[in-house]
Amino acid sequence: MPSLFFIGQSHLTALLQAWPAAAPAGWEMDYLREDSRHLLEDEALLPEVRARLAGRDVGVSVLGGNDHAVLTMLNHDRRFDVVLPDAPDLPCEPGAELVPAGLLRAEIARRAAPHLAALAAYRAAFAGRMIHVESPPPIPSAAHIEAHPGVFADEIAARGVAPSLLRYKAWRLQSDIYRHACARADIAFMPAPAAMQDPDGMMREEGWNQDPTHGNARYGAAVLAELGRHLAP
Amino acid sequence: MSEHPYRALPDSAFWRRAVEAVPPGAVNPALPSPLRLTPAHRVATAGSCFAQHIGDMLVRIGFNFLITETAHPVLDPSLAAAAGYGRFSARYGNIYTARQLRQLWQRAYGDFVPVDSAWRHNDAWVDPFRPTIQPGGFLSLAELAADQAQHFAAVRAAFETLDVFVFTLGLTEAWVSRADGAVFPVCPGVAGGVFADDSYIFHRFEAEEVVADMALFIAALRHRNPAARVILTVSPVPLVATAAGEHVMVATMEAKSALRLAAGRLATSLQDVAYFPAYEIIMSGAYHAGRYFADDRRSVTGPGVEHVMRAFAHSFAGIEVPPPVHVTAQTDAATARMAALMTLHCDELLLDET
Repeated sequence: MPSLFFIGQSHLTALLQAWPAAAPAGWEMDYLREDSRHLLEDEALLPEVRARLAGRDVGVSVLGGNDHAVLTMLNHDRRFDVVLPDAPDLPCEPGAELVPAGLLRAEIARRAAPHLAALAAYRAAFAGRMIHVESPPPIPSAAHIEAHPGVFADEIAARGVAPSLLRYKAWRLQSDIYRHACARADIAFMPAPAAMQDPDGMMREEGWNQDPTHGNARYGAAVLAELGRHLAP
Repeated sequence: MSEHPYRALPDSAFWRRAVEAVPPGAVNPALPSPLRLTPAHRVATAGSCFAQHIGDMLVRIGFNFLITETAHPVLDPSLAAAAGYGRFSARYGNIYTARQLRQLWQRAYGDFVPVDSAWRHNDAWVDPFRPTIQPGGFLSLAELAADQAQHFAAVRAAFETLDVFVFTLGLTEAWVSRADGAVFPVCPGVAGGVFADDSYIFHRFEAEEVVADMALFIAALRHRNPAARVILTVSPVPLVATAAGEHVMVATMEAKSALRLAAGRLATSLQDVAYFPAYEIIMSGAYHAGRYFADDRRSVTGPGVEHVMRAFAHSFAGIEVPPPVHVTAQTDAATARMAALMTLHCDELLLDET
């Protein structure tokens, strides 16, 4: 009967929405949804956050996760693509400018720095078992994103949704950043549920939230199920 | 009073008038050049590390520093700078020898495909001909090949659209592939690759070889770009190390003398090739109070660079260099908008009732 504490931002919402119906029996939880920059003071978790960790068995991070989308969700005037280091045979958009993967990864890491700092502070403040939940894979359908543009409506109209493969590659680079950060900090990195990924590794339609980047409650339930398997004795 | 040839010479011909009687910071051995630059001219640069100051100076005086390989704007300017974008006209890194420049041309146009096409370094791959250009290296061979192709296109664009090419000769010592004569900017094994005596051999280029390589390069350049003009300089930065078996100071003097001789010969023998005495300006610290080397006695100080810039701008453009202006690198507007919207987008979901 583990007691979990979740810290994250928008990607935590899918888990919270799924929790009442999908949480494994006997699990207890508390959570904090807060901007990563507001979690820290002098690079350490705020005392009031540390206090809430007391007595918890497992610390779960759902920190960050959309920095890749800032760069690659929509087409850029200078179309670009990247060669994924661990899948270099994936095609690139013909005519697109190559951005070296190390540089794109560094740019994502630069943007994710507040989340990575929060993750490190979380680890420093919590002695128990910790898990970081990989952010959801991109929604492959441009039509879905165009149909649910939210705040991006004008930008989507002006620029168009970027090729799904570019969005997928950037997501993989971002995950690589978190995977390495987790390895350095003795935090288990829990990949996105395979059941929610299509054959190309992108999010299956049943997990799409009614917006361009997030998973829905069903996706959240799949993450909780994966978490259950992860924590099973 | 008898007449003789020296009587009609200008002040610049006399040490007392041109050096001794001139304030140290105003000594200018660069005479006004018939090769004139205006803001309309596209000026490309390449060469050893000292050459990057030329590009900086061009920007400062509002001239057209031709850059054909720019970083993608989604990248932060600090990352772009660390990856060698904007340092020279294309992302070729330091080009130390004339042979290296000539081979860059040949590689860019597919006339030379070296055996050494990629070197393993730690968990990545490096380009043997610009081994430090990509921080951390290229992460796959496919990426290195794609970046090379993109780089060569940018090199060709620079050579074919430039009006003036400023090249700073830096070294005469190099390591050469025994297999095909490829010349590397850095000794194999230092920043990638594996050094082996049976694969690579040390070579010190003589002045005649430098002249020949540069002449071949300039001829090739003008075949594609007939109006191209060339300004040659010699880097005053001493060798960091020598493999010639001499004291590094002696080897430095040997190298710089050969390069200076070669640059002079090229400037006097080829049409529209000028020599700019950056080397003399910095080394003139030996003659006056200018202190143009840092405590390591190798790095050129800011005042030295400023002196070179002033002389260059005066000689080729007839203008004064304005004081440095701190330019804040601009964030890509489209990405900045996306970042702001993404925050809003995620904040909206934070408000979702669970």
